[in-house]
Amino acid sequence: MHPQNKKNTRRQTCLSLMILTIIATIGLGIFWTQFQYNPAILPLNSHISNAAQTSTAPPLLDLPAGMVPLAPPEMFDSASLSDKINGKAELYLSAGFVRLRSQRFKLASSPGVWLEFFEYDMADGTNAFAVFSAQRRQDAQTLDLTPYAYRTPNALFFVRGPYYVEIIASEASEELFPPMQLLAEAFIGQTQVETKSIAEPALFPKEGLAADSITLIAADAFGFDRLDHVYTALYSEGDAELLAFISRRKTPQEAEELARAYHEFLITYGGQSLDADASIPGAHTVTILESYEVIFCDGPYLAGVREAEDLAQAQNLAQRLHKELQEVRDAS
Amino acid sequence: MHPEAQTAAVSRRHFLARAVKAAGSICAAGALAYWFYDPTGPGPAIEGPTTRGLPVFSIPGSATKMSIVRGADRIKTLQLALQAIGGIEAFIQKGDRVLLKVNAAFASPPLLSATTHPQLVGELARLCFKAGAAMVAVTDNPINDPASCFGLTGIAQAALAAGAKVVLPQKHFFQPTTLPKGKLIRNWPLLQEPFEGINKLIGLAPVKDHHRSGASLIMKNWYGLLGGRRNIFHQDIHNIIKELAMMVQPTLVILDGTTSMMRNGPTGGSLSDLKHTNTLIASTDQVAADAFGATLLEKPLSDLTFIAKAAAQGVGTADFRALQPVMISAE
Repeated sequence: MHPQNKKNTRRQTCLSLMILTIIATIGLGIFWTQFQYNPAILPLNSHISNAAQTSTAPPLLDLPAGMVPLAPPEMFDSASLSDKINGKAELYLSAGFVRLRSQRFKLASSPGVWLEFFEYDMADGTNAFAVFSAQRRQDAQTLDLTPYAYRTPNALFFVRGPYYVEIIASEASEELFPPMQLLAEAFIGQTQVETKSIAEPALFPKEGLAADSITLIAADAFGFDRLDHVYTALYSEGDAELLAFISRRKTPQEAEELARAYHEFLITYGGQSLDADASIPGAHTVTILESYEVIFCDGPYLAGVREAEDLAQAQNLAQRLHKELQEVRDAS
Repeated sequence: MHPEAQTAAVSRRHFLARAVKAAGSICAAGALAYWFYDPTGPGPAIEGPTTRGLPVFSIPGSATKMSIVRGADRIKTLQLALQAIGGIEAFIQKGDRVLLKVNAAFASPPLLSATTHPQLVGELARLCFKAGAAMVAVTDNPINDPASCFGLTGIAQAALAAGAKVVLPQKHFFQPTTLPKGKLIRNWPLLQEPFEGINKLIGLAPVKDHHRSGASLIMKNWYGLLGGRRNIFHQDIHNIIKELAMMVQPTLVILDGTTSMMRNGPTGGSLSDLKHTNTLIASTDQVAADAFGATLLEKPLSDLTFIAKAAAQGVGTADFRALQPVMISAE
């Protein structure tokens, strides 16, 4: 071999060995360090600041001026809904839940304040009304955003087509209400839906009806697993309160069969049948747990009164409800 | 050919030697790669030997204690509640490594009382350090975006400000766990890693309504230790709470009823769901704490069957009055 070539080879060998030694040292360092790091412990704010970073992902909707995303949009289906809302998931799942999209936004003018937007796709307006009405807050202030909308000191809730929407602020402040309303209006303006009015609430007699008390129970109404899609309304009779209910079934036969089954259910759990109210054909009257229930059918409607402390009051309200249903049937 | 290139021309012998070296290098690299190759892959995070429950964190031989303090100032009520049952020193000694199991289930602001209040976390961590704790860690498994949950609830900031560590769940922190005598907790992934080296456990939970269980109090708060698709347990919620209570034997529990979520729980969402019940409970009996919590929610014990079930298993007593709790007003 040429002497120059041999000299070069030795130099190259030394250099190579040196580089390999450095690489091996770095490798050993990494190998050793990874066993020392306990990722369980997060002593710094790294994760926290991540939560507050503004997302570059497109927001769920075109935002009103002055509002920017605080976090990326999130999406949950029926399998993952409980990851977001834990035990309340069952309320939505039993009412026909399809999908939840949510995102947190902040106000450019007040970066410490944030809003969370929840858009529950409930498949249809009736299901959306069910979850809306089941959670309606007692001191709510009704809004005219949509036929079903209200606000509380820190939040805004409404139904738009098949969507039940919640906008929840991190603080309770009157100053936050305008941006919340703008966000709601942005959603309403950008969401084309087929809006169908819900007929049942109009069937309840107006006299004595407690405002905003109409609720739709999607499933397992009154503890009876066969009773679903039941609208209830609260009535005041003097100092007493009693509940009226209506459920539209597919056929009059189904309504009658279900009325009989519900009556039997009450008897099974300790109820006692009383003489029926003669003014309502086929009605069942039951006393259970020191209260009275009247159950009857009118066409496809299964209806009645429950939780009445006084039999006469129960029968009176049942008669008024029956009359209302008859008038609707006669008009149609 | 260039003269220099001609000088450096490779001989046949030299070429063969280099070829052999190159082949050797390739074989060595291949052998090394083969040595590292894992044909089965990493597998699920929860693989591993099944752990039988959790260590016992309650103080052996100590009498059951309970205090109920009325007041709106959490720091004051916490201090008084602890003093009434012997002071924090009765539970935390020098060198202790303490884990605070909070409720950080949702990324919601403290205003909504859906999570453990950060003031309480900060003050309790401070008191633990004052009593000589060597380390205080704070943990929960919110499943969805834990970093946001700990950050937006203010729990992380409060813990860090007090010198405590925040342990966010990661996949490999879970180990399959079986509760002896348990029917539901069998080979189920449980958040075990944060318990490594811990010798004291304190549960801190808010008083809340819960759509499935009727209430979310101390015992329901252990639900946050479960991993996997834990929502399946919602179908048998009272029994899973009972089993969790059987498995977790804390040093102490703090139930915060300063503001109680009376309806629409466990998430709430509106101030309208809340009521200022101005009460804080410290207890070594988690069942008794929950039984008192039910009174704040104005619910009969018959509605919260997990309490009776846990009591029947000997976890504690549903008759909190039998413990003769120390009642104090901080107002």
